Amino acid sequence: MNVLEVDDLRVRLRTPRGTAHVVNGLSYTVGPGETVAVVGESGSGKSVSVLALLGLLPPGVATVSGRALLQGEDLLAMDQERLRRVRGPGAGMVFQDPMTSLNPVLTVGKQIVEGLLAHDDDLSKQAARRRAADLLAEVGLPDPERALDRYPHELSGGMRQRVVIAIALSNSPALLIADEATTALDVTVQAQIIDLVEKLQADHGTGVIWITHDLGVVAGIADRVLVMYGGRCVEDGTVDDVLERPTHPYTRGLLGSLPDLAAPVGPDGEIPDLMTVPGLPPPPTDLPAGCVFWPRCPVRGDARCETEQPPLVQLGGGGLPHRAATWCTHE
Amino acid sequence: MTVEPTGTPVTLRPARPRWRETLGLLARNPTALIAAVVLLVIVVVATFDQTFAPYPANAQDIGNRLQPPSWEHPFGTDNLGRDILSRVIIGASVSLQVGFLSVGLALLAGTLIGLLAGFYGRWVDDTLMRLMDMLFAFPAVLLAIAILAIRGPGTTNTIIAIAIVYVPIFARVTRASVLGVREEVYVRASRSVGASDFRLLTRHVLPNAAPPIIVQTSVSLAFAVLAEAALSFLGLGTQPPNPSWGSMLAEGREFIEQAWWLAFFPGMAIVVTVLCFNLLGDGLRDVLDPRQRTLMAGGGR
Amino acid sequence: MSDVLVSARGLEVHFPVRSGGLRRGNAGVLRAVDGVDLDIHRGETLGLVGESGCGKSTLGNALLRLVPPTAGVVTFDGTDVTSLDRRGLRTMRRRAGMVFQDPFASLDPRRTVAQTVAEPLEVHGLHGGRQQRAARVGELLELVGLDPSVAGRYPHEFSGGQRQRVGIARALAGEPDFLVCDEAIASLDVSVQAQVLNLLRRLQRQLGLTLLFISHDLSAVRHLSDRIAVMYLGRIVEIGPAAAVGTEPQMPYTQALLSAVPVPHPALERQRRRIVLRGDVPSPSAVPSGCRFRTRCPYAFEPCPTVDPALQPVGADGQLAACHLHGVVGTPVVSETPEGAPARPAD
Repeated sequence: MNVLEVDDLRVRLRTPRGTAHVVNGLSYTVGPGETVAVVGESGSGKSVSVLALLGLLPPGVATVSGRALLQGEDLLAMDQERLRRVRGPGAGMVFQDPMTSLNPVLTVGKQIVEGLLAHDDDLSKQAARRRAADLLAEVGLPDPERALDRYPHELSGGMRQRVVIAIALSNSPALLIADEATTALDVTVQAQIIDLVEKLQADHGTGVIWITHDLGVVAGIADRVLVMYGGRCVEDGTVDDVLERPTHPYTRGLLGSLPDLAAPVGPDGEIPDLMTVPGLPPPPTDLPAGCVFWPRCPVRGDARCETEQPPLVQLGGGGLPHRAATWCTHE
Repeated sequence: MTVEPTGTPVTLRPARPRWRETLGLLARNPTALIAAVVLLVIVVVATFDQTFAPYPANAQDIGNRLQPPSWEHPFGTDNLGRDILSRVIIGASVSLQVGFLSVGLALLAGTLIGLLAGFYGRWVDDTLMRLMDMLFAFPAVLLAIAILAIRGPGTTNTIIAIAIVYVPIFARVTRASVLGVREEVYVRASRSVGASDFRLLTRHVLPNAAPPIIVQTSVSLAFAVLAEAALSFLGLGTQPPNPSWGSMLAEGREFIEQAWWLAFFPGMAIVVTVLCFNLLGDGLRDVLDPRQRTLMAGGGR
Repeated sequence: MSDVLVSARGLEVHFPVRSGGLRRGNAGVLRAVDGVDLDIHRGETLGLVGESGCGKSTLGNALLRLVPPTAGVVTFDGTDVTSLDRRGLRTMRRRAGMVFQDPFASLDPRRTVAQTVAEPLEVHGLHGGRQQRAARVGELLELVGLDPSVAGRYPHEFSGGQRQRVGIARALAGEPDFLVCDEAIASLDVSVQAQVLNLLRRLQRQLGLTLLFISHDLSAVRHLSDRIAVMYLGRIVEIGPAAAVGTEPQMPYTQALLSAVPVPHPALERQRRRIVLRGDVPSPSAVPSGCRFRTRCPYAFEPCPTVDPALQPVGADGQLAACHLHGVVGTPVVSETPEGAPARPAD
């Protein structure tokens, strides 16, 4: 059974400037042991979509519709109490900034224990502490016994993020959601954390949703990729298909705008200018009527683009599923 | 597919000057708005006190003493037959003058001290703030009394006394705000293009450090009015026969059982004015905090 | 006129660390920049890479004397910057500008774009007269790809990328010769980063600028720079032509850095063998003795703790690396300092 099945997720937010359509019909699945990367820039709705899954959006302001089956149970239909019990054993979350996801006035040990005790009434405090030390060892923290008594500010960014991962995995969830988990870290530390998550995933069979804007990280960690723009999925498929054979003009623009260490250098030693996508993403309060990318699209290959939203269609060529929401599949 | 960045930013909202946005935001807070309107009325009445007061402040009419509120004397008369409404109106002028002048002086001196202490730090900060701490250590009213004891009673000296008492507060608030603003990147950016300290202080630091100072001003005005009333109540402030809300309260104390209106109306005047200054201050605080502002206006990113 | 526009010799920027208790001694100094010799040539783009805490931002600020150097000399076009008086400093500030990292914080929120961009003009008395200044502001906005009509708006009305362009326009207003970009693209979205990188390159060619491009993003640095310098814990550990340093690094830290940078090609990523460094970066207040990288270096050997390596020519023409693997060259450690403290978990 799939760990997560999201079906037509939509999120509307009430803002002083009108209704913001932040997520518009998102559908995807995550299998056990699989890593799905959700890629997009700020304002694409990627973070909001996962916050909606776990009921972490402010209720008065956000309207969520659709279905999200976590191991068969619909997260969006759960009441608060059930949701609280699911967060932890069902799904763990790792956010970008470990300094603000950890409580600065509690020791690391206390925070892990808190998570463990909240979900297991039979666990004794000593047993929880031992389990916490085991978890810290598993995430590669040196000297786990002593680390339990450290405060977050005494640890480096990389170590803090390991602690956050330990907390997220403490109740052996089926799903791990990492939202820009390595963005704030140095590149060498980022490599360590990515390796850690891959190892843990292999050991526990956890499904992982990895949200990022960094396509390099995606290439290293993901099995499948979902590209978001304007609250919609504009392209999804295996990581090889999407990154090596991008079809949607936005995906192509995104890939083209990366300065690439592996890129070939021109004949005279010159590195060509980066391909850019001019302009800015549309505000979620004011989305275009047709294809959401149309105002910035350099291709505009079909008359329908301006007025109709192109559906996600399976691209030809056999092999594994690769879909793009565009009619402009040829250059 | 190399495209040069386009010129026009597509998503700018129509421009609105910042002050108009401030007023608009203030309007969303009904209590603050009401307070502002009431204060405006009080200020206008106080400014044109002679016009608004139906009778001269000191016109005695012994035959008509201790009259309850009536059509000729809406607030009644006091023990010397003077019209209380007129005295409250003229007293408003005194109270507000003292309030604005004393706070104005404290604002100027305190802000300057706080600005220098916060921006330059080290020995400048230490020296100035130790001075402020010494002043601050005195209980406010006692300090004011002491100053009046030295200089003698009266309205002018009351203004000076209250001003001195409030300088440390403004210095501290300014300094705290400046300490934060001083570290902002845009200050370093201006320095990097060659701006002098003076330019940094006047164009960048002070305007951005202003919000807490403005809020403090409003709150201090409330306290200044209260302080003037207290000092006059004690006989040290405005001297008789000139009316002052505080001295009217003191005089009215004796008659509180038989003629409640002598103390009631000046007392209410104090309460209303102080309340309005405080509510306005609260409203301004919400509006001037940039984060609250963004939340309220839905602006920014 | 010399070929070198900006140079540093023995540059140090140390910050005193106030310890709360009774500890005294060497532990009380944060060595952000710890002995840097650098030459930046006229018209070149020098990329400066390193991870957080390596001191690259501090170095950039020190070159413009926005942060006072505690030792060493910085020269700008032959003049000693470190001992300039106030007037001299003001002149230097016109000829050298900086673009800051955070587009949200680097513009005064209470000043319009026009006022911000015009500030250098006012400070240095350029383009006298309100109309001429306004015209120049318009020119500058166009130069960075913004519509001049937005000059009257406030920063909060713009996106991050647009604000960064305003910051660039401000930095260029005084027609500087030298521009320091301190993580200028780090806070921007990926597609906007590309726009700004293209813009910087175009401006550099058009205006003949000398650029110091500071970034932790190795791909962006290689894209823009003629030469690359790699910093670690306050020192330059490798420097050379961009192509050489980017493909054939001679110092283990650079190699590790390069191997850690992810590229958007899954097939390549799968085959890669990453050099995983042990442990975390030591704190700049507890720098290891000898080679400061030795605590994490997979190749550390006998001379590393006792001889502080100096930059020596290796690899390609003009490439220098500070590593004993190419020959033990450097300053032996005088042992009155305690042997470098074990890597303390640093922030």
